[in-house]
Amino acid sequence: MKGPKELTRRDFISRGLAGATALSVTGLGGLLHSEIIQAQTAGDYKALVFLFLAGGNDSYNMLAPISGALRTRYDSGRGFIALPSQDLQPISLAQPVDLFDGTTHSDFGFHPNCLRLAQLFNAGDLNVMCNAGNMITPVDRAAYNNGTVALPPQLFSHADQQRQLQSEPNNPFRYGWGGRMAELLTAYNTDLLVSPLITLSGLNAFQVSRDSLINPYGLSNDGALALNSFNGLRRPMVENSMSGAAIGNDLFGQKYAQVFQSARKADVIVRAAFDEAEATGVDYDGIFLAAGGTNTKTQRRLKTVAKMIAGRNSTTNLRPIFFISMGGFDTHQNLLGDHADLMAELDASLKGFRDALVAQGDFDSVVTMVGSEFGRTFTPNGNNAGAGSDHGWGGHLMFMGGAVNGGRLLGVHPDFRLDQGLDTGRGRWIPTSSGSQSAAELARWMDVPEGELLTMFPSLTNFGGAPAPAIIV
Amino acid sequence: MQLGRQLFLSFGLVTLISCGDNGNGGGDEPTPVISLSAVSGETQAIEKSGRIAKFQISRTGGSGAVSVEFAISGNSDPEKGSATMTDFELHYSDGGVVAGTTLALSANQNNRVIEVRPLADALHEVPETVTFTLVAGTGYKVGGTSTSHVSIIDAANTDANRKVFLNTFSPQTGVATTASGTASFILQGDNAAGLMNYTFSGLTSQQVDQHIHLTNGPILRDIGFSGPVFDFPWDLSLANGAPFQTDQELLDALFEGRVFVNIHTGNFPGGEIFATFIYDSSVTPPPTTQLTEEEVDLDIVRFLNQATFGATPEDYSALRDQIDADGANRMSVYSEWIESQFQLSQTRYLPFLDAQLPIFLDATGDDEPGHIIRKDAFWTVAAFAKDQLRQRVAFALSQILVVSEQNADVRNAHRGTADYYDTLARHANLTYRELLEEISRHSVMGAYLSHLRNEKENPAAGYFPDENYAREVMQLFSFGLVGRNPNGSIKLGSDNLPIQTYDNEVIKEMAQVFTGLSFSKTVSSGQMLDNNNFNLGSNFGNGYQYRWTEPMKFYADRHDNTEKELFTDSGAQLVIPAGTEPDQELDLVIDALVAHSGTAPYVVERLIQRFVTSNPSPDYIERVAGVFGATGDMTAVIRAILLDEEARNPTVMGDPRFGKFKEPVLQMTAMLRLHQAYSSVVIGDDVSVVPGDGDSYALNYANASQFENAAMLLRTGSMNIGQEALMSPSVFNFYSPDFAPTGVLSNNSLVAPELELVTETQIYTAFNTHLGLIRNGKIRNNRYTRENGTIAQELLRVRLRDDRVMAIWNGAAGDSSAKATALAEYLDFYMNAGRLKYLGVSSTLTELSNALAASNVGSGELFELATYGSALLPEFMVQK
Repeated sequence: MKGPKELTRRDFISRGLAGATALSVTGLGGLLHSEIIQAQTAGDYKALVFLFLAGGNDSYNMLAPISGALRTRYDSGRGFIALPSQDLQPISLAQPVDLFDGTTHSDFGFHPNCLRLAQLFNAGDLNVMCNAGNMITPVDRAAYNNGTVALPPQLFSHADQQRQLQSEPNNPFRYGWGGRMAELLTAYNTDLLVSPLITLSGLNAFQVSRDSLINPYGLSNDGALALNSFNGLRRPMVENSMSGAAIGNDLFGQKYAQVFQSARKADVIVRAAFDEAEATGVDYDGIFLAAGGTNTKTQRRLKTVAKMIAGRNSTTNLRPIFFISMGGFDTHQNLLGDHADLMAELDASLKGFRDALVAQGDFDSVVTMVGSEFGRTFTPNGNNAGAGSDHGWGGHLMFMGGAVNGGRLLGVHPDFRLDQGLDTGRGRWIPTSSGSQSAAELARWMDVPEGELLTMFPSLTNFGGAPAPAIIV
Repeated sequence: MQLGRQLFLSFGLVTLISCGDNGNGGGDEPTPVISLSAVSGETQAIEKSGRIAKFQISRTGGSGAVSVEFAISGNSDPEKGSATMTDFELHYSDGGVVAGTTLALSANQNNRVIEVRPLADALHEVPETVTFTLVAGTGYKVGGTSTSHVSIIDAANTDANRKVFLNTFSPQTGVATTASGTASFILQGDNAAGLMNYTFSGLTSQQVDQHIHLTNGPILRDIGFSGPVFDFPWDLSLANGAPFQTDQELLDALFEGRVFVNIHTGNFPGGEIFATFIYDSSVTPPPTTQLTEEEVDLDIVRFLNQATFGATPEDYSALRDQIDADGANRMSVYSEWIESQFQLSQTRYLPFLDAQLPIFLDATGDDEPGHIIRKDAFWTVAAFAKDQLRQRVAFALSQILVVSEQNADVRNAHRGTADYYDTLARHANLTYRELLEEISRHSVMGAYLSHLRNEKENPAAGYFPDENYAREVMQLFSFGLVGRNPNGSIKLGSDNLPIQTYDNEVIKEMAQVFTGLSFSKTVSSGQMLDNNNFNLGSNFGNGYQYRWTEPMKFYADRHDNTEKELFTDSGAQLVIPAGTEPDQELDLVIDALVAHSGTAPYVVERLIQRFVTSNPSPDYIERVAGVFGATGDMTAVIRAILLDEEARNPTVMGDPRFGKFKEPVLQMTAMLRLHQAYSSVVIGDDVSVVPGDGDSYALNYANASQFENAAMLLRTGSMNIGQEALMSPSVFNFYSPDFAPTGVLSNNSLVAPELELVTETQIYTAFNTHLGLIRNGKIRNNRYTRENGTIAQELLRVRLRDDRVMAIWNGAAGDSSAKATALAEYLDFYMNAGRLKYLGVSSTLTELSNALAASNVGSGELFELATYGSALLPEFMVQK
């Protein structure tokens, strides 16, 4: 391996790759060196966190109407899986939200276990893009029923819809928007030792880069791990075998060795970041505990992300992109019981994360997006309180951070009328905005050049060519 | 001579005009009846070798000399090649040239053979046909057969006569790319077909397509899959839209350098790189290979690593001995081994779990949670069960028909989950059809994918059936989301888009099929009883586990018995008539799911990925899918997977694209088996094996003979390596079958599902887990040991034995360097089927043996480095 002094421009682009093969030279993003310097001296740091709710979150029980005609339709549609209106955690809207039928509505509450989310919303730290989902082009019910409109491939299939929310609703999959964003922000992310793409939940579509230039770094739930007893004869044996030249031409072994090398290179940096976080004196455990946390996997992961952000001076990356997946949302049965547990966990997780970021002074420079591959059927799949809901389409995206335009329900909310309007059957609502519109807004916030938004999200062209407005202040 | 179109040469017309029937006009002798026919086995003439083809004329009746007329014509298919008089000469086999179009029989001659002697030319020609037809004439009648076809080819289909076309890939016009690659097309001697090979790398983006093209012309052949191509057969047949009237024109285009292959990518949908095939007569393709004795050895270990939880010296020796005794026909030995494996009594988890449940108690005397015992049993079974192949198949099936203990019901229904796994194993040599029905009715699956207690719809009351199982039984357990050809490639519809196998309306109808299923058994006063309560709850106490091991049954009043319009395959829609009895309906649906044209290639590709290679060729898939049949004959499928030429050809060991990254579980089991993992608890069916000194304990187990001798209970507890059997994060398994890691793998359009597990964290964790096991052994926490000290904590510790490592070290001649080389090669032999030594270019092997040579033998360092290195170094992580 070359030493740091010998790194070339190509190596610079290829961080994480063992060999200098297969590189495109077109990935620099066009930013001038002076702009990088300027960015760094300005202390310009932004981090994006994508908390992905795997399985299809039942959005319309995460946020439900409390009163009025919308409530009546909620009760009759949801039936056995309706939440009592008096248990909801009320929110106050900066302005009423538009419903699909042309009316507006203001009286909503979060899930009974989401008191803290309601408080965050009311405090302006959180907003919701209503009924977003994977779409190639706007869809209306007649065109859906007649098959005369292009639909995302494999609607209602977990794997496909997850991949699409994390990339674009088309086939074949080419890149995730987090990975592509990192490529376009290369000038901000200059650390040669640790990737700006950091995953706490393994490899994912979101962080796949288009030109294979940037590999995501996998961090454990509680931060950096050490390699035990990596000394003596063991160390040279492993290190020499893992060096690119040693593996010959075996492609599978090469990839494994690359990940090992990435782990070794990032080791020092990541541990320094944790030391730096430690030095802030922020009581992470205490904060998450006070927020109702029970040290779940998701809470540990968010804690680790907060620490990586606190320790950001250990790396020169100014636009890191984090990914966390929280599972269990495929509530085909026992929706009321299981979803309540998930909502309680989500509530405590986001509150703990927010409070930790506030305590370390980073809340304004971090945006957290919470989203799921699809919403669920509005109607239940059983005739008792143990019923569940099935795979749907439109659902809510949530955004949290000092930079978000908080306290708002954005976009157009379904009117909950079955067999008409937005319903494609059983209350699988046609989305009223596309996930890519919201993602593009975050990309813009992260300073992806405006001209690249349409290349990142080609489907934006079908939605007026612009990101979803108003998510960010 | 080449013919552009059908040519009919009718030299006999003149005589036809004067044709008159003489009947018995002569009065003294009957009119001869003449026939013309092929000479069996002699219908092909070859220009290069001068091989002659033959036909014959025969007569009945009469004995005088007679002349008969015949016509020469070409191939009745105008696209195919036709030979003319310039391509051959006709001679009588008894001497003399055939004059014109008249054949003569002399007096008393009843049969005469005519030779078709090919005239060699320098042209490259497709196989040409010439047809000889008897025509009516004076003095004879035509009877019996009157026609014979002869084909004339340039050269026989031998290795020596292959012709090689070569080129490297270049960017297409206007494309900026650094992608590169090489391509060849090997044309067989008769020019009728050939095999294409190419590889490429460095594409700017994901590959989306690849075709064989005509320069400035249309696609000649779509290659229905992505990625490099190995021995792709192309028969040079005319594609629709090709501007050719004949096969010959296409062959000419190939020799004139007007045929190319190109790779289409996301960035360059019109094609990123291309390679034009250029004929190079100076290149000779390599001869067909024969295995050396060393290669047979390596192949035995490869076979065992594909078919078991890890090759051992015992298993290797058994196969080696049989091959020696059997005249080195290794394929028949493997085949017998597969048969004998399926004959062995099945090692079952349920009785093994039941035998341990009363043994392990916590400090207050409560039973250990059954799922912990069930989970640990996996390692004991993998390490010691005799029916290795059946258990490997079960493990593979558990990654298709997924249930996961991440779900609390699956975890808590421990006897049911043990039975579920036993169900997979039981069907390892039966049919996928029966398996799919059993798992559809299994209450553990019912809990996992929520069709247990699934009520029929009542739209008026606002509820509908659960769609979960209905969706996944199609998407993941049978034919998948898109239509597939028998070779696994995606079927396109008339709109050139993949054919969707179903839509959401089908899901809704399919959900109705899976309504009305609930528990068939319950318990009362400790006795198993029939259950008639649809809403019986999910109780998990040890006394209530019957409900999880018995199949679910239909409750007719809860089942939707309306008509169901289900999926369509090959134009036929499955429709279940209203009022069909639910058990019969399920039969029909499962029959159709498994017989669906997409199910064989879908399931087969998943299985090949688990046993042999992540990127099987389309031909490999098609060959195995061919034996899957309408019911999914599992024995035939497993045999076809393991014995296929693509699995068995040892030359693939040098192919950087072949094989698969080893799953963490299989990596671990290989180590447990080679290094003879043990504890101090023997599994025996006879109490007399219990040593009396208290150092050891025997688990008394009636089925102990299903395990190898001296099998030990391996209660390791959770192995933190990134994967545990039946612990997938979702029904989508541990990894996606089409996961393509960024970088060189995805640039080559190669998938590597197992690498989806590999992150920085997973690698570090696995390294640390292995080191801990090697150094200290592994032990479950101490709450669950038997009270009264019968099993002391330490007796349960699982360790690896260093016997084999030390025996090789001590037995090798020479200095420590020579011993180290011998040991490294021994580890390579079993863990890697000797690949590293065989290929001779491995620095991993050098690094390992350098470390071994320098190590302290007595302190255990030698063993530690040997096991750690052979479990974790990169070249040990890939199964070829």
